[in-house]
Amino acid sequence: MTTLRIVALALAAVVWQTTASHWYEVGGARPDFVLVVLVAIALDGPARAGWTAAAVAGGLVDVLSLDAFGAHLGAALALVLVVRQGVRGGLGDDAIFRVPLAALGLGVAVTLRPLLHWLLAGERAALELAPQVALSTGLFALLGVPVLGRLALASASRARTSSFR
Amino acid sequence: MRRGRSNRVGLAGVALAIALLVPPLSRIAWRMPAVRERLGLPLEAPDDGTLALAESVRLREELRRARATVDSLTETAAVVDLAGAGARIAGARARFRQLAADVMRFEEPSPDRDALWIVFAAQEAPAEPAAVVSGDRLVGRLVPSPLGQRVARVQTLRDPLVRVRFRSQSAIDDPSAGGGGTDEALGILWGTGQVDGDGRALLEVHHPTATAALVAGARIVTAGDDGVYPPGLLIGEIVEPGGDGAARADGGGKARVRAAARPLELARVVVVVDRARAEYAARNDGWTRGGASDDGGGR
Repeated sequence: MTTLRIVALALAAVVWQTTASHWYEVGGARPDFVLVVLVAIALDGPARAGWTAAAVAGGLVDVLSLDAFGAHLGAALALVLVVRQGVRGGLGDDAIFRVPLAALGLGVAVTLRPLLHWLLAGERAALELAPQVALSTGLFALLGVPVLGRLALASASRARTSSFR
Repeated sequence: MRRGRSNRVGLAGVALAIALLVPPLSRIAWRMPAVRERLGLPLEAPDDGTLALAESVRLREELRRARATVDSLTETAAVVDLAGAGARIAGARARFRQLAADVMRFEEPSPDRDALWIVFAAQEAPAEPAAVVSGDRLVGRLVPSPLGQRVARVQTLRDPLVRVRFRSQSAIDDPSAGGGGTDEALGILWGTGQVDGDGRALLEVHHPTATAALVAGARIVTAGDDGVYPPGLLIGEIVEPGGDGAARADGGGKARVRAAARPLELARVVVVVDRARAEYAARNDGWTRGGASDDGGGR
């Protein structure tokens, strides 16, 4: 049940990304709201839910996107891998290390996606806009991760409580 | 301790709500005539598909008559244009097939790429490569979609991986400016992913055959020799002539073109399919054979 709720959260981010992201465009680049939600889930949600949400949301975005299939999926899974490694190392509970850990995960995902597209589709990697995407995504992550992380935690704890009953 | 944390979360929630609401509201306000007048900004020209109803009914009737004329003209042009390769085309028919499609309010999920989703009202999306236009302005090229046969995507000029072969309009129109001569500017436009304040794509000129014709304000149109884009469609105009010599050798100083179309504002587009693509590919030594080898972009 927890996993389902968290996957629904990630899917809501995909819907937002494909319907409203143009409002936040600056100079041709938009923030990646899917990565914002995934980084919050990876930081505060259960591990299995994080991996599932990354696989489902990344795969769906791959189907809808111009990028080669696997580019978004690989980037989403890499983000969860990086952030979960940090969480396992105890960095997820430390307020000082949470921000750099999230930034590292986002940086890896934003850079990896064009490179994966280059590898899979044979077209050059369009890295020109990567800094703008990283900056705008980072800004929304800074504001969104505490709120979305609380949502992910609430989903997990609600499911735990209902299973005890 | 717990209270402090929930305060922080509450504060972040408020900040997130502001960050999510302010950009759409400010963009809507920016377009409102009353706000623009008050700020002393020029009023925006009406966008495609936002005409008043009575005006649109009148224009639709005019369009129907004009389309009938254009159909008969292209029919005639096809006979002349394809005289060389026409032996491979069964009978005389219009070279370009035009299909109208509505733009869906659905966006490309990749944050640094750009595509429109379109839906065909009466027919299936064409399988072959095709140009997508609004009026005489190039919007992009058709890319198949996984969401059914009536839905397709358009890789717009705002996409950083778009490629279009171009020529400068002045070189075509004005023989004294070098039309067909040594000053004729041909080349390839590369998407940069960047846009101006109005949402128009900024493109870079690569491999120009001549730089003299690439002056500021020169109109840039499709060359039409790649079998995807018909010739003469307006791409945009030169906004930065770019450097030459040392600057070019350093990889900098490339001329820049601002696209004429604003894809985000469109409600309806026309897909133009080139029926003579196979013949053109064969004539051009097959450099476009087997798909869009030079026009980059989607799957």
